[in-house]
Amino acid sequence: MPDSIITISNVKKRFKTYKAGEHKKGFLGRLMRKYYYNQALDGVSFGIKKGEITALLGKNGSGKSTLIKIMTGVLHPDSGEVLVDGMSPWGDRTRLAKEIGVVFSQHNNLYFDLPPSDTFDYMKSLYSVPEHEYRQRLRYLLKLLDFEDKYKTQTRLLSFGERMKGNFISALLHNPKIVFLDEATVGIDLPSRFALRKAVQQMRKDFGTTFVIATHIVDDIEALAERIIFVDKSKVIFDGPRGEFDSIIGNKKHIELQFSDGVDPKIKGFGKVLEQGEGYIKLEIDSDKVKDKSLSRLLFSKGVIDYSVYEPDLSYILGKFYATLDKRKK
Amino acid sequence: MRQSLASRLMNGARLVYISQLYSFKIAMVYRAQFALTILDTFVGMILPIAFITIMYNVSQGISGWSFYQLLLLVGLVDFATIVVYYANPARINNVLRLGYFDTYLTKPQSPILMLLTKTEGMWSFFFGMWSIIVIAFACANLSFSMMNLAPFIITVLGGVVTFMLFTAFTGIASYRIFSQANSQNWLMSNILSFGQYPLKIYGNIGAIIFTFAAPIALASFYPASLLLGKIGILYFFAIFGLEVALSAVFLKASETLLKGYTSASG
Amino acid sequence: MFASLEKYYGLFRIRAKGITVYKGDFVVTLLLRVLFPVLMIFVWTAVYVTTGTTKIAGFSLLGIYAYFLITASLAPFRSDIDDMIGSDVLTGAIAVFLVRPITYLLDSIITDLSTVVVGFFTLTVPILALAVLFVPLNASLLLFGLFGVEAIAAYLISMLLEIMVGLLAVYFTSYAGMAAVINRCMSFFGGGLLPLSFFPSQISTVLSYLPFQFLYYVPAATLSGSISVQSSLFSLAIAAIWIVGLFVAAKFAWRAAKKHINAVGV
Repeated sequence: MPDSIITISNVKKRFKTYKAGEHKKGFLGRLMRKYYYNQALDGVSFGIKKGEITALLGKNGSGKSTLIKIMTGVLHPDSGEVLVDGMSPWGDRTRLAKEIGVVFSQHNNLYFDLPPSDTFDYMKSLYSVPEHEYRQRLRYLLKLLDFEDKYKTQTRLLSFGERMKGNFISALLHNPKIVFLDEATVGIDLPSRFALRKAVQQMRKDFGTTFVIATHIVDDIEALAERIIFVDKSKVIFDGPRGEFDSIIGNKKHIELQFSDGVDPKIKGFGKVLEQGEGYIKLEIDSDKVKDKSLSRLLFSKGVIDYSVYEPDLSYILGKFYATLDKRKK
Repeated sequence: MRQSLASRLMNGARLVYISQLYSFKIAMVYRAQFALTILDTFVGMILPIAFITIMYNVSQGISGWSFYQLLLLVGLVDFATIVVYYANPARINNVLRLGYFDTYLTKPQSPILMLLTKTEGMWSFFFGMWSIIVIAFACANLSFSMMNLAPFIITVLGGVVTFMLFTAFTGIASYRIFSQANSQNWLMSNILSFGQYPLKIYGNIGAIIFTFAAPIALASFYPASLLLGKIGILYFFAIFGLEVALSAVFLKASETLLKGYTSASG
Repeated sequence: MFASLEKYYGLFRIRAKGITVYKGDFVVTLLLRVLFPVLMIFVWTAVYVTTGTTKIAGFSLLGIYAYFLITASLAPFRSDIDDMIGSDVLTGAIAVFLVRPITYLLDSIITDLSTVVVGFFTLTVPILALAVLFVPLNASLLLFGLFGVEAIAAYLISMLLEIMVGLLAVYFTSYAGMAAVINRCMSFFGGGLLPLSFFPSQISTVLSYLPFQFLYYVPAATLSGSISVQSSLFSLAIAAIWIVGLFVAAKFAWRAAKKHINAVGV
């Protein structure tokens, strides 16, 4: 693929795993676990372009974290090829590490007993960032994430959202080409999440940083993703631009109406009823029906107090998408 | 309306029983962990015994005390050790510092009791088991009057309770003084080691410290001395009385300190 | 080249800083570490004095005092790397290190070294000063030099052994219990509780070929003058062989562990 900064070809990965309490046979077997295999990735391929913001979606256990770990050199696949910034992540691990930044949700990059400022200084020597560039970058990131008044406080005393901001900054100080976020916004308060989102967009704009974001938080996907890669049961089942994902459910619009005197049953003929209440109804209609003359007559009729027409939101689309997955299971 | 002392004790006993049962269940799931706990407690029990065995092998030991008498002291200290796993000072300190204590305050039982009953799994159970074996083995090789048995058992139990409350008190107190508390457990295990030897070797000051301030002697030396007839049986009343008094002091001090407790920031 | 040195120094600095954050803990740790030697001083004084003994297995009473203070001063030279590796593996935090441009093992070793260096100044030096002043410990400069080399050997052996202990976490979730048992045995068979010359002769002969003696016995016996300089130098030669052997073993263990981590995920 032409200007791809990441290429994954036919990657397969399986894990040895065990169930607690199950043991091998025999006397000594009681002390040893019985292992079995779990195919985490079964022939995954895609390419990510430089400067793209990609969302890696999928249920828990679908393989997205594994993909990130493979792309960053933490694990290596059983077969298949991976090239990140022209390097093999596990073959050239220490060299690639200089060009990437990773933020994990469950593990801190920050040293717990010290303020984030100390970790930042350490990152500077770890990644050999020149002093001037470091100062500039730190100022930029602190301002972008609104972290100026907290970064000298001991990490132990910071809130979860503040720690993630610190983790985020520490992963970006060396101006990495690619940043991987592994569920990095889970459990964070809203203002911090907004700040992180803004930071992602700004950094991509100012520095052309590529972002790969594994997440299941719909709002983040909505705000950031230009490209969606959907992983389910160890395979990629969708890979394309955001607009294409939205039209998975077909060209539909949602329409909400508020009636003064109970819902007019005529409206139900225009589409599928999604919600209904006392004088209130929400329908899903085909996009071309919006211009339908009989519908507009109904909308402007006396009984309708208020109405709105809009694109289905992402969480609805995702919901339908997950539903089709479950249907495939059966 | 305050519950009666009896019902509070019953409640406490029930809590302890349930926590132990729960620990057993968890241990049954992780059988390797179970085997390891047995091994770990066994090694913990054996090393001090190896120590005094070697001591009596290369020398005549401490005058006035035979090997088996010293073994009795070791066994009694082992028994008292299970206390540290209930009133684990580092755990208490962490619970207070990290704010988990808030959840105890919202439950209908005494917060101190809750602090004390979150046990460290099976460790205390097995260590207690080994300690009873050691005590029994030592007693089998010692001669003593059967009349001393009851006072012995009473003072052992009383001493253990006193020491537990002392341990809880230091755990709570250390929260106010230190930010990290692993040293607390260390302090406790050192104090326990001092209880393995006759009080006289520490001189007068030592005797006072280990009788009143860090009262491990109440759980080991004094009961053993009562059993072996090294001190007269009338001393039983003084010792038991001291145990009750000190327990009350440590309990009251703990409650007072907890009142000044502040929750960690959220 | 200097860039890479800078990153190791940066790591060393931040880790050392992290330790020094809790200043109260230093004095406490120092006092606690001295407690065990103090107990041994009481116990062995009682043994030597009340039974009129002058020497046991080459140790005079003053030699025993020195021995226990010196073993206490060697505490920082016991590596904690097993704890670090163990918890990094069990929590999966090892992933954070694997995405950094530094090898994980080297990162851990440097972190460990920072604790040794801080501990050397806050623990080893004060306790040795205590020994020199109060025992008194009269050791020549040669002996101190020899002791210094042996202390470094003690650290290297401890570090290599503990790397392998820590890597057990890759295979066993009940790693913490195993590590506790193993470490306790290493202390015991290393002379941490008793000089190895006190052990029955068959056992002490076997122990003289194992690596554990270098953790406590050889350096402490050297500095307290309880073994000859020739004997000490001979032991040092055995230590060198063990260091090479353990280094190879540790490398194998690390490679196998990485393979296993890759197979089961992190």
